[in-house]
Amino acid sequence: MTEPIFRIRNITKSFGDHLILDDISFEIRKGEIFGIIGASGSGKTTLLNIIIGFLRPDRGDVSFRFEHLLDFQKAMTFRSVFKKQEAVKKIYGFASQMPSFYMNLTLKENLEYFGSLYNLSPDALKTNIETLLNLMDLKNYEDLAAKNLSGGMERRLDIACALIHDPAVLVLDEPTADLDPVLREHIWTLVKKINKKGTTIILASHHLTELEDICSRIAILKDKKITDVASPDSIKNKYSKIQEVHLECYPGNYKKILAKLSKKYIKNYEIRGSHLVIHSNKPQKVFHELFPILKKKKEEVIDMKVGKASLDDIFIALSKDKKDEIPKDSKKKS
Amino acid sequence: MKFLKIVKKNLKLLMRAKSSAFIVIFGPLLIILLVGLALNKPSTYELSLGYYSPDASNSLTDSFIEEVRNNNYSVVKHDSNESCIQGIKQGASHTCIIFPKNFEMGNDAANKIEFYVDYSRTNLVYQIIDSISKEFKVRTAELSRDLTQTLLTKIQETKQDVDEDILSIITMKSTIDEIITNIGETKSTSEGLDFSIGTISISAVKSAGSSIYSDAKSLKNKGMAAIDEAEDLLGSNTSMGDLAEIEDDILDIFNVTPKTYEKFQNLTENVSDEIARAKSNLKSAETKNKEIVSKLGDTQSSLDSLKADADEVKANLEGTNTNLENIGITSAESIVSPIKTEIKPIVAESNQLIFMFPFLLVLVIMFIGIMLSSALIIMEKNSKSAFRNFTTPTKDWYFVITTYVTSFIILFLQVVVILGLSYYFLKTEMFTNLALTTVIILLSMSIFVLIGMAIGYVAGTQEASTMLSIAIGSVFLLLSNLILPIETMSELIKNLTRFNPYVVSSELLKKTLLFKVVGVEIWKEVFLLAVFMTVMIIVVFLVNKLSRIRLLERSPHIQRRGYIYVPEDAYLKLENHIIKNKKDILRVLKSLDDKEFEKHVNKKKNEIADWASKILKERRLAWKLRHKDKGKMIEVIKKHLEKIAKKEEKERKKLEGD
Repeated sequence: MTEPIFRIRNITKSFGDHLILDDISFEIRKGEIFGIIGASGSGKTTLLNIIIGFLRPDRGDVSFRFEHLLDFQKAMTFRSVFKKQEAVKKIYGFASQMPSFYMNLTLKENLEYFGSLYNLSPDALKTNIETLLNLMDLKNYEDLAAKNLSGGMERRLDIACALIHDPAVLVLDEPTADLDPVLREHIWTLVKKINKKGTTIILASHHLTELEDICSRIAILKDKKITDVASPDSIKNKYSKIQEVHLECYPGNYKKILAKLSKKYIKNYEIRGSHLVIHSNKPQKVFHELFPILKKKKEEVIDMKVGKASLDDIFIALSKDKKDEIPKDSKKKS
Repeated sequence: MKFLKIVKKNLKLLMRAKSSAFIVIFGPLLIILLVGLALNKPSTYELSLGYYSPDASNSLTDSFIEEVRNNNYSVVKHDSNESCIQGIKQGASHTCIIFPKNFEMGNDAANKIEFYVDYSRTNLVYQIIDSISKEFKVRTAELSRDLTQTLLTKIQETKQDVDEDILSIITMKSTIDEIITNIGETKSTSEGLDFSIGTISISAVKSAGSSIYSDAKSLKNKGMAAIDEAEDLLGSNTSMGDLAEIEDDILDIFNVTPKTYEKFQNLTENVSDEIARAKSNLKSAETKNKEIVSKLGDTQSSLDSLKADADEVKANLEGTNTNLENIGITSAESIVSPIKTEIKPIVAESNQLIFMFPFLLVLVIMFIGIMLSSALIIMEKNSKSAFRNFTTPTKDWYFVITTYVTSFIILFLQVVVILGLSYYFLKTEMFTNLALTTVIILLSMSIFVLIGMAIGYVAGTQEASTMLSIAIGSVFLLLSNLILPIETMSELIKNLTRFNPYVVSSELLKKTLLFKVVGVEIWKEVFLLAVFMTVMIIVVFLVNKLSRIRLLERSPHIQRRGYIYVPEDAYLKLENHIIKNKKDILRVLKSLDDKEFEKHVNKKKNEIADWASKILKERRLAWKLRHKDKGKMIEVIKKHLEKIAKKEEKERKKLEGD
């Protein structure tokens, strides 16, 4: 296990009367890809902003180990990111869903500009630009104005801008939001490549299935607190008690079907297009109840299956769950 | 390097944004070009005037109109005074002149001309009044000169007549004196005339005649007696003969004597009669003489009185003459225009643009400085890259200074171009005091750039920034001499204008460019500008500090509105459905029944449209989604998704092609 470089201790943050984060503590280790998941408004981005020292918490501290320092003693000491703002800014790069560069500058000019803000020497800057353009497959577009880039290229340029000073930590906030699957895949490949170079990556994404494949560890932010910090597999195992019952029938009066079903076996349900998805820890009981109802309602079964809830499903269940109705104990089946 | 890179980036961004590049490069040149075309001419006003004269033809009216027409005024004749006044209201003419009926020169003549002007044109009305009045005054002065000349000629002639009259009076007076003297003498002669005859006693004459006769008789007797005695004594000798003769003679005489005596008697009688008549005549003459003397006395008195009157007339005439001589001014021109005025410019130039140049230059500096720097900051604030700038280890003041330098460089280049063009076209010695002029221009540039920066930091949006920039620029402009004279303003405002940087800068520039003053004379104002600049630097840094906090709050990454809006993870929950993206909108809309739909989309709210606007920042889509009808909303989102799919397909193909 690698040593931690970020230490988040008892972070509490409110906006007005609204408590966003409540006594959050965890650590981020060097070289890992650390994912943060949470429901709408759970405060993931706030947490990211606090980690990089961009927002100050009401209570608690975020400290960072400046391991790049030559002085070993100093390099091993954790220092508050809020007290060493300028230094912290040098060690992380930040890329969010919103492209954060100048649309009227070319790719190269953007990289040169942001590189110059980190006081990189012309040679270092030139090398970094060259490396990043190649890494991001943007070499052929270096003289193209950023406004002419496609969505995926914009995202890649944004990440390149965040990496221009070769930071120790790359913070990615929803790096694949609004991208199609091909481009998402491209971005994740890039993230892996960056991570392989030794860069610690902290990211928040709602494509949780994808996080499952890429993250070393995932933190679940729920009810203003971090409920879990573990590897994706551990989390899935923890929440795998719940299974999904997928039903597709004709004419598909799911509301009426649900009304007849006994609620004690149903943790949650969702109508996804032409499907009815029921989360239950007793799927066989649900099946047992379903068949007579379907027959009675003269519903013709087109498809019916039981499967293990994905990380996405777990996340959705988490976000819906206001009374700890988190589906548990599920096993993926098809 | 960092500093230069930021400045270079700012310049590139400005130049590459078409609208700002146009404003930055062509804006000032366009302003100067327009102003140059508008004002690059001698300081005359091309005024048009309308007039109405009730007379079909009137030489005096025509003479006035001819006068203004000769001075290149556009003159329009109207059929009625209403039409003439209407002409001003419609902007066809600047002034309307109504001539009176039977307009002529004379004591009782109707010679009142009415001018109508539009006072709402505050900046021009006094020039119009002044200009038109001047033309009319010229003609009026000509007429007045003619009348005065006639008057002066008459006075001159009168003076000559008075001179002649004085001479006549003098002659007359001397004649009167002579007459008076003669009358005096005549009077005294007349008074000296003695009309008394004394007492002539005819009886005494008669008595004397009788006595003479008796004496003659006695003498004859005594002679005879003497002869007798002589004869007696001498006897008959010779001598006795002589005695006899003597006796004879005596006898003869004696014989004659009675006759003579008788004659004498007759004569005496005649004399007596004549004397009586003469006495009577003398009496009459004396009476008349007395009358004459009396009348002569009266005449003398009259002549004395006449003489006194003549003296008085003479004195009056002499007084009149003296008065006429004292008039002194004998030129009609001097009477019509007793004081000659000549308005001389304190500078030799006669081109309006040169006079206006300092004000226009500072005007351009003010507006471009404010607009440019505020636009630059707003551009940066609204830029998606603002967040990344904050994440870099760059101090705030670095961005403040680089923004200032960028704006300053652009403004400086513009001012150089403007000054160069002005120097070339105006061909005037504007820069005799180059160092001082440069200091003033640089100071004013700094002040307005800093004001613009403060506006940029305060304003939240481009619109607010533009409005604020225009408002502040307009206030500076309004509280200056350019629109209304400062002298017409209230005391408070007048005092405030002293601290108006536009007024201070333009006045200073005017003094250096036009009056060629030196630094010692204006050091206080220059110092004031320096104080302005210092104050603005402090304000800019303070406002930047405050705006930075606001900017962080407004950042799409961090929003404080009761809860966190984060586009990436702010999902919309409708009943049991969660909307994460646009596709989910379509899915959920299809799944919701009417009751559920109305719960979230009704007359009061449209949660889906609100979410699309606030979270997805898709305002256009949100606007299109603002329907109360589910079907229409589904249709909108379907179309939108199809459009995106097409776009993605295109990009994918492009990428694959690459």
